[in-house]
Order: sequence, then structure tokens, then C-alpha cells
Amino acid sequence: MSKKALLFAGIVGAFGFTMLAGSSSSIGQVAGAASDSLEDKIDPPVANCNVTPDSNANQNPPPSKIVPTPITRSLLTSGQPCAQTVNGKGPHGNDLLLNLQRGFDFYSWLTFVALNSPNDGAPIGESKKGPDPTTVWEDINNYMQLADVMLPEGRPPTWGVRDTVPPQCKDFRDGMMLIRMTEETFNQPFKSGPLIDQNGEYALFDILMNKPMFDYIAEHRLYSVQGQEEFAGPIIFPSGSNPTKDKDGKPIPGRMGAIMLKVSWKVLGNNDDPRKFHTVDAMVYTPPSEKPKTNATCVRRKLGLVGFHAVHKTEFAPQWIWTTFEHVDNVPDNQEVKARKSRRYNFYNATSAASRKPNQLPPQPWNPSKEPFADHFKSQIVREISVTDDVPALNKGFQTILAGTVWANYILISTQWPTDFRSATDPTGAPAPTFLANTTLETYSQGKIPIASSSCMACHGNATTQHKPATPSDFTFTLEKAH
Amino acid sequence: MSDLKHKKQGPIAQDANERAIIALTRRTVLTGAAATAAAAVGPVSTQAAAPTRNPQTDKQLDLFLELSAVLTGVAKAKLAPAVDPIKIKLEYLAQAKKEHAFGQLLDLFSRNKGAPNVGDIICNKSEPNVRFLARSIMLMWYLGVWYDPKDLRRLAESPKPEDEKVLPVVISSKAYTQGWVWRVAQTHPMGASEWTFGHWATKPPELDRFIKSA
Repeated sequence: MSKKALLFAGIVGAFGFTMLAGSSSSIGQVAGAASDSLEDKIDPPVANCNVTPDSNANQNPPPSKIVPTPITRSLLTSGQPCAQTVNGKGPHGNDLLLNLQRGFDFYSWLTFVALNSPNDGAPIGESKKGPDPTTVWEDINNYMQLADVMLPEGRPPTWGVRDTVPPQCKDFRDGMMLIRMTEETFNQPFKSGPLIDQNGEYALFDILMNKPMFDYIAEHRLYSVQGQEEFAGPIIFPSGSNPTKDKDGKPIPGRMGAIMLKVSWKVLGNNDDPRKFHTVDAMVYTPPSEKPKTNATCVRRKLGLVGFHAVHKTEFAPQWIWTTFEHVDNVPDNQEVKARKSRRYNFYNATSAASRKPNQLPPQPWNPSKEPFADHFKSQIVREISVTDDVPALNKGFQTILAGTVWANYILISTQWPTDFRSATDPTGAPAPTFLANTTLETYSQGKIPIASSSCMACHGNATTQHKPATPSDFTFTLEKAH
Repeated sequence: MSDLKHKKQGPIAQDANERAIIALTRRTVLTGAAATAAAAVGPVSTQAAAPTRNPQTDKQLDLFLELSAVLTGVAKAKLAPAVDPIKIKLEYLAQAKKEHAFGQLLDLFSRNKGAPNVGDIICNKSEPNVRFLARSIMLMWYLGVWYDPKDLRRLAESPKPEDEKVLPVVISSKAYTQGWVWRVAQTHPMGASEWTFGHWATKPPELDRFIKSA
């Protein structure tokens, strides 16, 4: 553990996860703070970490009454958190778990807003590029798709540079999304199955990473199997941290740390309302295959965002913080099913609810080049775990300030975080909530059965490199995609 | 899926019953040995657990956890961390409260909790219905299953314990992964590990890291 981390460890031991500092409004590096150190090269200081807390609990002097931070439009320009700013004290009195969970959920919304802001620097809803412009994370200068990092033959990737666009994608233009179809693009983790929307189209999945994560991979040549074989040290991705001061009062800048994203898309059909989705103009490339024999294809699709994981490694969450959002119309939860709500969902049909068992796999074969799915199959998906306590109110608050934009159609499901990040006996840090699933990304592993049901940390704690013998890869499966 | 299903005679409970019958001799040894160990450990250092919202429930839960720490030899702060997403303590308290002697047991513990031999008083010198309930609670924390105190008594007093049938009930799916027997053995339950790939090639942390407060 670094000296800085040790300093923080004392603070955390005393107060839980309390960390506060001044707030600012946009992302940028600290002027003049850069040095030649490897840490600065991979994870440079950030001038304006968003450290907005979810309540006034940490004010000095202590407030007479703890109240939640008002959710106002100023939060749309408050910037991206470099780490969580949470507190064991809060609106839930002495209930540490609920107060901390609320803080993490608030952090998740701030992160979602920052990442989905327009890439031109304008606040959400104010871009001159239109009502639904390219977001921060869709800009290759901010986030890179995994397929552009783990290149064929283990070639070294270059930040901000896309791999060669296949000739079949002749209509591809800058600003479009290029989806390269692999099994992971349509089949969920552990090949647990694809998700088919109400038009019979496959949901599509993609993984991206930010520059500190990319730079760590590039610096240590983890983009190739050979590089992983030659890397001797343990894999420790850089951690985000909030600005603070050392014991002498000298400022310590914040850092962003590694962030990875996993997103899910649905192909928008004629009966989908594109005004309700964040959309991208995409080219979907399917490489040739031998069995069955098919030629490469590249088709243009309008995709609507339906799922969004943001995963952030921070100083007090070395198990990473696992944030997940969904489109509001994806699926009903069990209560909505019982209430027989007849609204339209992306992955559920209320009119056939009585005759169909939910959350069942599509029949084989699974071949996304053949759409719509055979025999008119459509997934019938229900959310099995309700959102955590404070999430509905937070969702309502943020949806209010996002009203009039597509982003008002997205909801936080929850945030998984380590309750005991320093545990010597539980490397997953005793995650809360114990189970968490996005219905579009972990569709078939929802539930509360240990090991069988989806837990971000419990699952990703098993991730390894392709080194022989395999070594832990710091909670990311991305390194398994190296060639 | 409801955890309560495990308490009925479903497939899992039946499996558990079968295993329990097969493992009778081993279990008999365990029951006796655990009682002796708990009596020898005595009170351990504890930290405050996260309070709940009902003061009455709070007080009872707190006392139950203090008692459990004495019975198991595991620090209260480990049994019920201040930030506790699993809350197995609530399931265990609810299970133990179903027993008639629960109030008597808590009362006995409350009156003697400062005594150096409190474990001995509860496990060896109390009324049979109290001390066998204490053993059931101890086994619950260690194994994640509920042994009826009457069965434990019958087993202990039987001239031929190997002929006795005892049918413990799996309390819940999470109770299985939370069994302290695994952590005391510095390992993990079969089929459920939070350790990273390759952990088996390195020494586990010291036992104290598992069972004592930091």
C-alpha cells in the first residue's frame, strides 16, 4: 500500500469512507503537476474531481440536521468523481450500511451524468450538436473499445486510434460506432446466452476502458499473451482518489484511476421510439466463419442504449465500484408483473405473461447473423432483485433534472461496493449489496443464490490473465481477450 | 427463491438429513468438542455492531451477539460487522428466538457475562434446556444449520448415540456460505470461495485474522 493509501486508511478506520474536498466543474489535469513518474504517466493528477457528497453530514461544524444534497441542475456540470465521497453518517441516522450505500448510489449518478455528457464539453441537453450528441465515453479520445486494445496478433494498440476498419464497413464514418461481432458481443458471461428483444433482434454488448486503464495495459504490454507471460509483477490497476492534504497541509491532487464500461444496445426497430433512447449510428461487423460457412458482413444499425455498467477502481475500493444503469422500459420487476402493467417493455411482453415462464434462455442455435430470431422467439425477462432502498428517490431526482433529454429514461439499479476493502480474509471486501445484476447484461444469473447468482465482485474476483499459470488480473476479464 | 424453502423437507433439507445421519459419529464428536472449546475460550473483545432502529430489538440482538461470541470464540465484530451487508445475525436470532428457553438463556448470560467462566456456566452448569440451546446456537454459527436442542440432548444422553437419528435443517442458502467452520479452518465452503485464482498455492492468513477484531 502506498504512503498516501496508508494515510487514508487511518481516516477510513475512524470515519468509514468520509472524504471531502473542494468541488469544481470540468475534467482536466492539474497544471504544472505532471512529473516523469510512472504513476503520473499512467494516472495523472486531475484538477477537478467532483467531490459532491450526498448529504451535508460532513460539514464542519456538524450540522444540526443532516439533509440530503439537493438534486439540482448544478449537478449536471459538477464533473466526474475521481472516487466516492461517502459518509457513514447521513439521512439514515446511525445505519452505516444505508448511509454508505446512499453515498455510493449518489456517486453512481454523478458518474453517469459526467460520462454521458456531450463530448463537446456542453452540459447534457445544451450541446449545439443536437439533442442526443456523442457522449464523453463514446469519444475515442476518452474511452477505447476493447477490440481496439486487444488487437490481432497481439499488436500494440495506440491511444485514440481505432484498429483498421474492415473493408465491408465502407459506410463507416467518424462519429459512428463500430461493433465487431464476437461471441461476447451477443452471448452473456460464461456463454450463458443471448438476450432477444421484442423485435426478435439480439441485444449487443461492448466493453470500453479509460486512458489510465489503457496506459497501464500498454505500459506493461498486457495487450498480448506474450506480454502477459513476461509480466512478472502482480497486476494492480491505478486507483482513483479524491484531492486531499498530507499531514503538513500540502495538497495532494486527485487522480481518476482505471474505469471500464460495459454497455448493452438494442437494435431500434420501426416500433421503437428513438426519442426515448440514447442512440448511436453503428456499423455492425460480423467476420467470416467456417462453420457454418458465411462471408463477412457489415450492416448499418441504429442502436439504443439499454444497459450501462461503469466500473471504477478507487483508493478505498480496490475491488472497484460497480455501478449499473438500465433503460427505464427494459423489464418489469416482480411487483409490476403482479400488477399486470400493460406498458411496452424492451425485453418483456405483458400480454403473454400468463403463458410464458420468465428468464428462460432462447432455444439453440444462437446465430446473430440470422435475424430476427427463429420461430419468432422473444425474451421474456423480469427483474428478480429490487433496487436498493434510496435508489427510487435518487432516480426520481436525477430524472427530474434530466427531463427533456433522453437521459431521463435511464435508472440506476444499484452500486456494489466493498464494505471491508482492507479485509485480510475476504479479497472481495464483503460487497454490498451481495448480489447485483443488470437485466440486459446478467439476465440469466439474477437472484440471491451464493455463487450461482450475479455478484460483480465475487465473479470478477476470479478473473485472470492468460499467463501460465494464470494469475489474478485485478477484477477484470479484459486481459483474457489478449491475442 | 425464498430462503425459507430450505427449512421444509425440500430436496436440500432431505440431503442434509441424509448427510447428518451418515455423519452421526463425527457430529457427536464435534458437538462435544465444540462445547468444550467454547467453555474454554470465555469472553472475547468485541466492537459495537450496527444498531438497528428498534431499541428493544437492538438490545436483544446485542446480547445475542455477545453470547454468540462467547459460544463460538469468534469476536462479536466478526460475527456482525459494523457495516454488515449479509446480516446473517438476524436470521440466526430469529431462529434461536423460536425456542422456549431463549429468554432464559439470554437472562443467564446477562447475569454472568462479566464472569471469567461464563462459557462454562452456560455450556456445562446450566439447566439442560438452556445448555443444549446454547449448543444449538453454537452449531448454527459454525455450520449454518439448526439442530433442535432436544435432539442434541437426546444424543448426549443416549447410551448408543450412533443409533440416534438427528435431522438438522439448513437455515438458508447464505447460512451455508457463512458457516464459521470454514473460516476457523482458514478455508472456504465447497463451491463458494471469495479467494482469487491460485490462492490454494499460498498460505492462508493467520487464524486470528479470521476470528479476532482488528
